Amino acid sequence: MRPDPHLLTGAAALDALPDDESAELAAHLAECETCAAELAGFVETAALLGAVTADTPPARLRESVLAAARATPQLPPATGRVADAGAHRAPEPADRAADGAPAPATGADVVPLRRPWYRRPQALLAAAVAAVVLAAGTAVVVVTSAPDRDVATCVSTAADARVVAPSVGTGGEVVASGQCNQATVTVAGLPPLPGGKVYQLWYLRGQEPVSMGVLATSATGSLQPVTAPLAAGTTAFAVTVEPTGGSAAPTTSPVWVVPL
Amino acid sequence: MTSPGPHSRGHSAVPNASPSPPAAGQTPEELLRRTAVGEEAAFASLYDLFSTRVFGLAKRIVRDPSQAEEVAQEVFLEIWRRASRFDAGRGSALSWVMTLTHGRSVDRVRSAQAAADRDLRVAQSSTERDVDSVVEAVEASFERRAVQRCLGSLTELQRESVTLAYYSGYSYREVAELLSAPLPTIKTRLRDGLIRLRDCLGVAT
Repeated sequence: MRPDPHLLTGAAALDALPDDESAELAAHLAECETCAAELAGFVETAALLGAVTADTPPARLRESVLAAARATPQLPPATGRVADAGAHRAPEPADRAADGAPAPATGADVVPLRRPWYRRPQALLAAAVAAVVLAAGTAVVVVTSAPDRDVATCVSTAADARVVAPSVGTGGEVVASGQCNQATVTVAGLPPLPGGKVYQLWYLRGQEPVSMGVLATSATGSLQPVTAPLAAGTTAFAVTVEPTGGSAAPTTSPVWVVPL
Repeated sequence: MTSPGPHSRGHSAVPNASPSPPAAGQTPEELLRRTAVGEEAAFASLYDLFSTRVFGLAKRIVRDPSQAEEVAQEVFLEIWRRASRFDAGRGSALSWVMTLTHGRSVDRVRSAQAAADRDLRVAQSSTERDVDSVVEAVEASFERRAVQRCLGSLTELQRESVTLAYYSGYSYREVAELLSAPLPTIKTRLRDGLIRLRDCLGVAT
């Protein structure tokens, strides 16, 4: 019943499209070069509208920004297919923090889904799973193992190491270091699972979950920490309950999330 | 608004890049590239180039100077963090920065107001103020004047729709509700309005 999605380019350029229609337009743009070009021109046009509201900020802001930048690590360039899809399209809150919001397999300049997978209601997970299946060719499964001592040491002693507590779940932490380009993920506070179920760890590249493997349980029943390369564009780590052996894509909502 | 214009800067040693052609290494795209490799001076120049626009748009959308300052700080940190992800092949540095700014500002408004629905009457009265100030507050900047002129070339309904969506950060469905117009009408108006603005402003496509 939808009318021509082409007509959505105007609203999209003004960052005025709701989630569902952003997705609809994204799908359409992949097939319509003219529409993608039109949207790009509209986005440039919208940027000029900002000139009208220009206003001088308080002088203190400059020093504050520069000082904060000095204390903030920069992201490495996107490599391969992980382009900054959020850039010229109205990016998503999570992408903004995030980066490298993955372009769906069909094209680069599409509108990302509005909400990241790990905050999405259950009903929408099917869409996330579908998106992952498209990208499955590039998914990297990191074999879960005890932390490599050297990299774990690097992470734990790095000057830029950040310790981040979960936003979903109550135990454990992620220690991430841009210098080491590694993160150590320690998951705790989750109940033991019945037979046939396992905890599977994911990192989110933009909004796309990428498996880091099934979490191993130590003799004492705790989940073993995982140290892994910090992939460009990682926005969060998440844990879901999956059938034994793990899943190619999450099939349940995360029970544990650490946003970066 | 008292801004001396989008290109004014009071701090940097970098020469003014506009309206004369920017010196080599001083286009915003080049400054972003240098920022990506950690050059703080380039980042400072970017700040000087874009701070009035970033702060101004944030302030227009969040309508509170201190919150706008926070949003501007967030935006510039994102620019710093993500400079390496900027791809000049996909759009200008300006649109990259303004898109970030718009999104962050709207997030701020939405998170502040998530609990309570917006008071449509207040919004309604601010509609006129928006349109009026946008169209009438002609200032020195050439670019600003061009935008004013082009906004003035839209039909009133196009201008209202574009203004509410961009400067007030409303979704097009909210715009439809505010203007008591059917959704397809607003969609079309936004698009037609942007086509007219694009052509009027001479944006290459």
